[in-house]
Amino acid sequence: MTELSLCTRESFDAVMRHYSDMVYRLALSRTGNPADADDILQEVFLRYIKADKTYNDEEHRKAFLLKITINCTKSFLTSAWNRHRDFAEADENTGGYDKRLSDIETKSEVYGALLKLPQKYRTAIHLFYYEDLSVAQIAKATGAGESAVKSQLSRGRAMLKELLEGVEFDDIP
Amino acid sequence: MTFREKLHNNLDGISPSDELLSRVSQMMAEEAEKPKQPIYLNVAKWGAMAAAVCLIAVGAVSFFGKGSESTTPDIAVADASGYSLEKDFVETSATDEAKTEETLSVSLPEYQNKNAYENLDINPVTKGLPSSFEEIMNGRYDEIDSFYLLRIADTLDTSEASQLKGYDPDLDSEAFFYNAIIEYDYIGKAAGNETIIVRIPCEEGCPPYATGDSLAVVLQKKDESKGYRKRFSYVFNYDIYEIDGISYGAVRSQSLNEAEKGLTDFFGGNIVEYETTMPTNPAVYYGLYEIDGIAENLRNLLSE
Repeated sequence: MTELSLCTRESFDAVMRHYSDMVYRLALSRTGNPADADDILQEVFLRYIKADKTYNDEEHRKAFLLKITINCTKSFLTSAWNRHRDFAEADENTGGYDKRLSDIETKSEVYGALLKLPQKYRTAIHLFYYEDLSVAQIAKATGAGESAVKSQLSRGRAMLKELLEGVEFDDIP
Repeated sequence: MTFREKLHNNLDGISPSDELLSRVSQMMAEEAEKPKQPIYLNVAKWGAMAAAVCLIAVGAVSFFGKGSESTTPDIAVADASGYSLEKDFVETSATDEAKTEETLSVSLPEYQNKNAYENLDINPVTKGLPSSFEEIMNGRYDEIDSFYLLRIADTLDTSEASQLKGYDPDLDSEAFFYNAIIEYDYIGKAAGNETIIVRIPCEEGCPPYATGDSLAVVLQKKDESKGYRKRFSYVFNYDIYEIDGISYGAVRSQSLNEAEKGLTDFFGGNIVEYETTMPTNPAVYYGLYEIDGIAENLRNLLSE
């Protein structure tokens, strides 16, 4: 990616366009809900622009965006509003996003299985196998210890093996 | 094909909509044009003033005495109750395990309110605090003015404080009075420059703050019978840290009871675990909460 450190409207926009897929997919993996991932995407890039940080390189910028995506989803999932949300009512009122999710689960067998895992395992698996982060990098992004990340990966893989017959995992840490 | 390859095949086709990206782009452009929100004191700028005020603070501690018990909680019990949070609190307690699993451990950066802690006598007052969640909140929303970023300008000495309208020597001798500047209204999302006198009791040690310190606090509405402003509740009184560009509020915890912890969680949202890396920082916190999250929860509550 070209240097995007200049704080112009164009540069912010270019960063957003470049990393929007990464942020959206992680938010989707963590929330399991496309509509929530939409909201989190907006929040992440608002925080990004508010932070107005200087980045050493694109790896630094990417790590920052992954971390605030994780923080945003944490805030979202544990917010007073979300804890009191009536999910049945939400599904009735917003059949559109429910359909998006069922489309994903139907068309994407592996990702559909991933979304069935407990959230902490989903996050570790997503960051390791999709974002190609190391255990140490995942630990830094999520705030968990490296041993905890290894354990999450191990348990997540065991669950996926039950859900996905014959699947093979490479690069087991 | 491995799991990694299959996952890439599945996920590579999932993207946010163009409509969403356009909306975010517009929001970012609008945000970029807004004036910067003031967050922290410039420690260097206030350092010289802090040194002078330390002397005043030491004198004030000596004058007021140490560790005496308050008979005047900052929180009054209200009568009318149109809304009960007790039920919500019980219901949400089931999420505690999930919340713990999702916490983020962070090492705190340099303590923003170190001026206060240079002289802090940690001997918290524990009597007179509310014992239930309902007691704190019932029917009191209309007392809330807003959630502000305050910067302490200076400490009023005893003779100045005693001249304030509504000052009660029996009730107010355990509190400190400060000239403070409202720098930002988190709920109204507006910068400010108003100077107020704020009363902060010594629940978490005396003096609670010193010149140059910044704190985020929910204030009660102005009471015309008093020449100073009061906090809504000290569980809405946060020390401020900036971590990765995000403002966090830390709740001092020496005397938090279970009801107050529940209230803090309810409004603060996500709890962030932390590690104290500064041996000279004696601050003990119950948790760190994102300031924006607290503001949003309060904004939602007040708009109900």
